[in-house]
Amino acid sequence: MTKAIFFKELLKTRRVFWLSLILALLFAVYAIMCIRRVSTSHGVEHVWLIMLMKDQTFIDAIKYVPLLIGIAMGWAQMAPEMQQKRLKLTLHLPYPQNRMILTMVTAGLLQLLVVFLVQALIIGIYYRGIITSEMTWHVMLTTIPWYLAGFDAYLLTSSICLEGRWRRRIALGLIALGIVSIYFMQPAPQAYTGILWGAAIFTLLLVLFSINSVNRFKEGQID
Amino acid sequence: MKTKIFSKIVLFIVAIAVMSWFLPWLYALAFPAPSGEPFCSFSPVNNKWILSSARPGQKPVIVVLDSIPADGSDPAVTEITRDERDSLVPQMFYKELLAHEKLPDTIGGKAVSVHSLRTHEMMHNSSPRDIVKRQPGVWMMMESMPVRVELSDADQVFRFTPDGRMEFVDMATNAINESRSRRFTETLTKRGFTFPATDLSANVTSRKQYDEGYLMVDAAGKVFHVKQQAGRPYVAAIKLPEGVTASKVFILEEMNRDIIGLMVDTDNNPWFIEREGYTALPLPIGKIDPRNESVLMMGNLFNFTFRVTGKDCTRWSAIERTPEGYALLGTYDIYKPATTAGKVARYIFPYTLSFVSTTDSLAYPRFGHFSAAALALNAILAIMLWFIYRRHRCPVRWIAPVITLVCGVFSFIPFAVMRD
Amino acid sequence: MSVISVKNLCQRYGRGRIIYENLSFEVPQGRILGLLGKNGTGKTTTINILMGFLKPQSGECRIFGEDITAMSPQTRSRIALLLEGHVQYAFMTIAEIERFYSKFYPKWNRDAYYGLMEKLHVTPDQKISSMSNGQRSQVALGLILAQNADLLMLDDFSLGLDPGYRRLFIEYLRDFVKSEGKTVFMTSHIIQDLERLVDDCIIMDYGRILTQMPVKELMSTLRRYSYTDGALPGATDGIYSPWHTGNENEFYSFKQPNEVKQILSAEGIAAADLKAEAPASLEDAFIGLTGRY
Repeated sequence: MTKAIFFKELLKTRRVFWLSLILALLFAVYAIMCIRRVSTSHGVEHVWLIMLMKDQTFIDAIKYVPLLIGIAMGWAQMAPEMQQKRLKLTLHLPYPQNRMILTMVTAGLLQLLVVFLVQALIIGIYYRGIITSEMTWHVMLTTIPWYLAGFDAYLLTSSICLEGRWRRRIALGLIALGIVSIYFMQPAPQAYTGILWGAAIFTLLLVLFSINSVNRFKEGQID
Repeated sequence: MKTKIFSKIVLFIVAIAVMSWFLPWLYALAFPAPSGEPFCSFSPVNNKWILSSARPGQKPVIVVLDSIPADGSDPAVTEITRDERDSLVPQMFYKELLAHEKLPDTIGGKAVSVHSLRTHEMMHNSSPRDIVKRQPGVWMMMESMPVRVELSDADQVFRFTPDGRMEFVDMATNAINESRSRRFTETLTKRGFTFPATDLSANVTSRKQYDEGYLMVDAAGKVFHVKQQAGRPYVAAIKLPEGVTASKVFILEEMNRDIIGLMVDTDNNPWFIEREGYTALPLPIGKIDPRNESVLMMGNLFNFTFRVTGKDCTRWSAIERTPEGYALLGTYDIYKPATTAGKVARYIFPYTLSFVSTTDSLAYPRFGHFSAAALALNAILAIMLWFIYRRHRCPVRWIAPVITLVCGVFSFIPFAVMRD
Repeated sequence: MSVISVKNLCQRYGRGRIIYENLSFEVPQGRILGLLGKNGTGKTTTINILMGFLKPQSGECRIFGEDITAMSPQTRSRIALLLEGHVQYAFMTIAEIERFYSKFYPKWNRDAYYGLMEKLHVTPDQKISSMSNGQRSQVALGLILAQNADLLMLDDFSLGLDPGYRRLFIEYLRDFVKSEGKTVFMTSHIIQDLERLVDDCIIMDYGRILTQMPVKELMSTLRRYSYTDGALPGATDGIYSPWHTGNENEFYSFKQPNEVKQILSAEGIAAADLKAEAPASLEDAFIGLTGRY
């Protein structure tokens, strides 16, 4: 049954998944091209110099890509459930309802994980070739909050889509804006490294937002 | 059922937390604190503080502090003109004085020339933002004695390995330079360096007169001067008085080469590191916490002025070099005035939550500005909430008002909006 | 044994108008029950509550003896739902949706589904979103048949279907239900459709149930009374929907003609030419009980 749920979720999101993967790859390539341009015109030492002296990572271009992908994934996956209240079909399936939502959300999170991992690996492998492992980690740890923002955006978009009342949707939207913007408040590299575990646990807790929306749907809290 | 209640609890906790940072942030955005603290200079002519204030949109005011009462009340001041100020602070305005042929030959018994004034000019700036931040753990090393006169950019970085080595990596090839790593490790070990370095300071740029490499604090709190000369290591230990362990160092590469660095020990006492004999001399300016306070140091032919900016107070100190060491000339504390918006905020917000700070480059949740004055508003909001919940026949009516008694406006909004 | 049991159900719109109070009814096993009522009498509300998508303000609903607010997945697997408008996962193809649902239902009957699909002239890889309303309803029906559930809940199945598809749907459903002893709870706004299908009906009025009985009993016991002389009686005491048309007065009642006469004469109405006749159709009976407006 779990496989069947994954199958259904992939049917909804496969297009967004491939588009996201392409977008993530394009931006990874773009970031690499930017680095190559610097290293070609000023020498690779200049990349080191700017990175170490100016706190730059050269990959700011990908900063908001995970966020965008997260929103698109949440929308692609959950909006069809709410069209014509199709969620009723899903909730009526002989499968525990909370586990159903968890499985659906896991399907989305796994797809995001694949997209984000591919992008991070491409950047990481390229960087490891030209700079030290510490500096590569420095860059990678700087990107993790952006990816977490992507996961959060996905979960929050899902909970907004699954919510049946406009008033609550707007409230959730504002909460989402507040949560996501925290990840972009401090531009310094690795600024979030100290709270990454906390942020990851927080991200997992956001799954409860979708469960909350679905519980309200079941109670008939629909406009 | 448990998941349902748990999901509701999490939703509200998150909503309250978001409000706790968003509302104070919005408030601060709407009512920005005015900037424009006065700038102080210590006059070698009359040995008094000269204050220049320039608030946006207002005429600059320049005053001489005639006396500074010990009880913190307003000092007696004499307003002066800009030209008068130039004469009182020649170390800063000597170009003006020279242009108007007003530069004296001697000031306070010291012969004065443009050259001597210029060569004694020093400036050092440090901000907690640049200190309290995550670094990749590799540092660049320049060549201090280049073949040509001009300095060139660094072409290698070094790291301290867990097995106690200083390891060099060539930037062009991203490969370890074994011979250089060995030479530096051996020299450091020979000079008594305890691996790894806990603090390092250098100005890695070719746009400077000369390179002094690094000042490093080792794991034992000792300070070392480490640089690369013609590809070879130069390592010298700084002599610290018994019992003094360093915590933070700043390298100074000024035209006046007498002082090579500023050091702060583990008790937050500041020291100058002098080239002569590699000794450290204490600075009688009180304690400095560079991880929480911004430090501006300006040196000149006559004195050194320190501006140490903390959360609530900016402390100005002037010292001078005497044969025995450094002697205090004067201090002046400027406390940040409480703004109306700040005072009102204390009645609105029971606390604030923020993720970033002006004093570091990190992001993590920090609670602050706890204010009992907001309890009155909290109580009013709690009662309002109770009535709202009663009107809408909400099943559980007491939890939200009780939480609002503590969290005030931060919980009132989510509870009122998401009451269904 | 009752498959559906509703006791003292109360529901209102938000904090406002009462939809119904103390609604109680039972649906016995093996029966096809139609819930009839004018718009706004709470048909959709009732079916939403029974499907578990609306929390009743008070009262108790049980299906197969289980409280619907905490229904186990096993019990849900015994219930087939048809949502209003035959809503299904439109992003799936004919084959995909079969593959998906088959994993959830142990008694899945693949042949029943594909047997119906063969009549549709569609290919297995055709997306449901690209189909006509009628075709979609067939897919929804096919899925219900294949699910082989013990209870079928159908919410306004005729919505959006043309007469041909409606007829096909009803015939398929009737054969399936009758041959397998299934229980059906359904609503429809087209009462003619129900007449061919349902055994029992519940007729709802604003805030209450007017009647619950087998359709045959309804058709045989409800009478249309008409007369030309005298005034209209009041709508009380077993007199439903008094109405004046042309020069004729009419009303409906379950009462025998002699009882009706007594009531009329008590009100001073002569009604010498009082005629009693059975309602022509279930629709007539429905209108007779609920009134024209």
